[in-house]
Amino acid sequence: MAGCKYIKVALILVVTLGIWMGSTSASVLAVDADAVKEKPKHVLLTYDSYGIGTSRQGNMDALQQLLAAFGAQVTIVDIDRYQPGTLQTYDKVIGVHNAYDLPLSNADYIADLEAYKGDYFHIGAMIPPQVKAKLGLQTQMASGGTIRISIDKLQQTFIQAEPLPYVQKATGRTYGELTIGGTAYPFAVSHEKYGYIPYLKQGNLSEIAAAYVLKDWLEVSHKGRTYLLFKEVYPFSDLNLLERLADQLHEAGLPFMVSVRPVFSNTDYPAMKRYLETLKYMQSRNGSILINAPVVASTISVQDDTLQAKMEGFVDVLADYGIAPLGVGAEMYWSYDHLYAEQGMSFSNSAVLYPNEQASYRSRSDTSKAFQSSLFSMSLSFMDQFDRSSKAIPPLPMDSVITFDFFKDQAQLDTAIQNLLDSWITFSDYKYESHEVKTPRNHIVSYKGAIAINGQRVDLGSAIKDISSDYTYKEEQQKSFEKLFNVQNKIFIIIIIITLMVFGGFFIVGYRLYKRKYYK
Amino acid sequence: MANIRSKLHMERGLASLSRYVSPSLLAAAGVLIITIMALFVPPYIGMADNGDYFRILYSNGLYFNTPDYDSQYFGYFIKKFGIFQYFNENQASLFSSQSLFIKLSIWLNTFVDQQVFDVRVQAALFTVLYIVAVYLLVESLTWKVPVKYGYPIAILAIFLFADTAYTAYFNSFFGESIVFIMMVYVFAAGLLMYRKRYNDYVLMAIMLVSGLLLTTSKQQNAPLGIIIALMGICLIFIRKERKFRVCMASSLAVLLLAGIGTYALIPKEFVNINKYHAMTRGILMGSEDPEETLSKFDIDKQYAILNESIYYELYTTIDVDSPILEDHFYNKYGFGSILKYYVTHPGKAIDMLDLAAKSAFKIRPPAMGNYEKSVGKAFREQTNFFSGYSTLKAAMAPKTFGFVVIWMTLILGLYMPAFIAAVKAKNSRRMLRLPLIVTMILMGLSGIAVSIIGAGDADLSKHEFVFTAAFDIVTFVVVADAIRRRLWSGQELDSP
Repeated sequence: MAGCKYIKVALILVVTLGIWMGSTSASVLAVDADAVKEKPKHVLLTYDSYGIGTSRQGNMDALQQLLAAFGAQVTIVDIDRYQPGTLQTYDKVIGVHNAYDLPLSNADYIADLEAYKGDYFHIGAMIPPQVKAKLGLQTQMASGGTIRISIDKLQQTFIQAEPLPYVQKATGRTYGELTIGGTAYPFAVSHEKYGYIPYLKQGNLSEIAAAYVLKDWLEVSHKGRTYLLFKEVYPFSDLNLLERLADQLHEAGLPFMVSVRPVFSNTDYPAMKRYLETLKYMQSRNGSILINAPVVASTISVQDDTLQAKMEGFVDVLADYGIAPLGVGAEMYWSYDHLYAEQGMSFSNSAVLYPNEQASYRSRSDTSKAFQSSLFSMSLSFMDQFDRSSKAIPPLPMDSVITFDFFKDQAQLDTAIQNLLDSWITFSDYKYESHEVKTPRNHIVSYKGAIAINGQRVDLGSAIKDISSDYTYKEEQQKSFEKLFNVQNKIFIIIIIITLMVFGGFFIVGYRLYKRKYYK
Repeated sequence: MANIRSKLHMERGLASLSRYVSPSLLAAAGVLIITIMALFVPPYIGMADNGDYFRILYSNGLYFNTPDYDSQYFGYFIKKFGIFQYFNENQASLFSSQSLFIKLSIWLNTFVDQQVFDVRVQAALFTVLYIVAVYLLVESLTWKVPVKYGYPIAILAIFLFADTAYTAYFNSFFGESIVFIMMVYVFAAGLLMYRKRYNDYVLMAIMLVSGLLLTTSKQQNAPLGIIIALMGICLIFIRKERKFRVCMASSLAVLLLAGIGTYALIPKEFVNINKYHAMTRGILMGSEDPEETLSKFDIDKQYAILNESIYYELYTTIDVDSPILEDHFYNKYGFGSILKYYVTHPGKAIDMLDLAAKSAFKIRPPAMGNYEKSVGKAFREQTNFFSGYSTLKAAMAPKTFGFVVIWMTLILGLYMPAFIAAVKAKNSRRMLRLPLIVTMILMGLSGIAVSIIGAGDADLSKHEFVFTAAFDIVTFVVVADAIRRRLWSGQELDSP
């Protein structure tokens, strides 16, 4: 046992020394990357309704995002379509009840839940009796109106709420406060293997507050870090503005990530080289590069299995240019789609999952793909809506990322950087964590601030190179017998001209003869 | 002796047949029977949606009610659609004559089903219109023509006009069905005037209505109205009465205005999909230096990356409808600037014309399937039922623009002597035939030009439909005139 410990310490020393000397081998980094891999927790998420048309609409998405950020693999099951025996195959189950006025009607589910012995977490109304008993819960329905939520050093007042359940009394650990009509109640409760949140709404502090209790219930000990990310970066973006962004963030001491749109064709064009040059420069300014999911066309053709080759091809284009992508950025639905998850995300063990904007599934799955590193994406304005008791935003329970769409102009960029500085958020450097990207040709790893491509440490000091526009877009077609055909052409032209002249001559002679014959 | 007897026997037989069924009636009946077998007898033949249906369907009060509609794009023909039962917020952004036919079909459909629209109702409507058009065209060629010539022309008409590559469009929401039917009407009306068959005023009305429906069916067809109006000037002089001349001149003026009006709307509705292809599959594709070419349009040279890319790709770098492209790409060019580019770079224009010619002889776009999913055929499978002409044409026609030029020269050469003779004889009506054929050829050429300027080489076989239709109609008339010995002589029998 002690021996093991010594070996691990020695390994870390070797790695650190290797990085220091600039000769870190990827295999060593990979060993470390493997060392922190854990089997993801598999959570069954049952729900009675998505709450469409109510204030609860979207809370399932928020919950799925939180669970992904805690590294959990999630299987979603509609209670109405529940298959008997499913509950018993999971150690952790979360039940969401968005229909406050409709009791459960699926007898199989009710029976299985009564017999269920694993960890159970409940959200919303219709709390199962054993959860009520274990947590000593006494709940009531409030008529809604203005409520206030507080957690840690954050609070949000004047939240307009529809009728909602709240915890009057409970045993066990309570989290935060939910204030209704001037009286404060616990926001959430947990005790041993049970937990309960009465109110969860997407887009307000309840989302963050839920993370605190879920983290304990999922037994995640990892300290949450916050990152900074810019997405909507295209080869057609203002590349100078991207460079200035990198410079300004570097000067401000803010490490950042850029989720870049992949390019699948014309990757040898000067325009592409300029894009790559800019990304390389951003990487050198303490930026970490992620590959954003491509846009999926809405008119979907069923026969296209090229996604994997395309994504891996783009990783290779980046890697060949000395740019090390460390993960994938995509809307959350990508992780709930077999095809996208397998073909479009499997090259990486790290992801940033953005909230869904327009889901366009191809092979929808009930079970999500879990990532070793997955960040909870939110905008700065989301955090800005909360009051805080300290100047700095406190670290959140989960790994999160403040996400910006890349800016249109310098003014927008300046404002955003000023807002970031004013937020006092401590941003972490993505490459300090273990990330791995793998294609048949390239193996990219990061650990403790160092990045290696195929065992070679990536030089993070790079100046922008000017890319010349000189490029042969069209290969000149190979011509054979060019001289022969040229001579032949000339001969033909001469023959045709002579023929025309002779013909003309005949025509004139013929016309004269004709005139002479009839006009005498 | 036996030979002469059998010839006499055949002629007598044909003469007695003509008492019951004229060649034009035979052609119309033949086309009708084959079309019914193709479109209304299982397995029904139609066209799969390529993503274009959405706009025309929703703006006319229909919606996709098939659960797996998305997975059937390009692959399978779908015949049933839902009819909106509540307020439809998708109002038509632009008038299209196609809407008239869809609305009329929906109204007819409501007698059978108020909730589900069957596209075969529209197909039935088109079939009736088409049969009349074919009848009129064949009548213009076979009226007062010996039956031994008339019937072969009728059989030729069946072979061409009943081809399912054309009629499958009736079971779809593509505007091509209207384009084809109306082109036949316009041409038939013109030829009937040349033949002095039927009342000139009725024919003028047919020409005006079908010309209007043709011009306004698609924005790309705006030049067609202008061409008909300008070439139609010679129609004014076929009669001396002031009333006729005023009516004809007014009709042509209306067609001209319709063309200009439709053209004026193009910049607004020049949809992104075509605009995207016009640049990526047209100008950039033909350019030796896409970056330099982009700079001529004041577009950032980085967009060179989009060279040769296709709007329909499943996975793309950028959303083709994104505001970034809208602001920095689409906003920088339009129909006019692309036209200007091709005019100032004739070499590129010729390259594109040659490219266009490669698809100019395909009537049926290869991308779309013809069968319903339930038939069990493969995705995108196309029918072979009565498609001899289209298959032959696609396989045999030389696919170069040079061939198109030779074809045009040949046809003009064939009709020129008769035209000059008519001019010398100062017979305005007899002069009509050549201008009518030139009108059709110009319409076809405008089809090619508009598709290159409008969408590069993308979807050429669908965009070039006007050319392929004009080619077929003109070639049919030429062959028919050759059969009935009227190419360069006997026009005084045609148009006394």
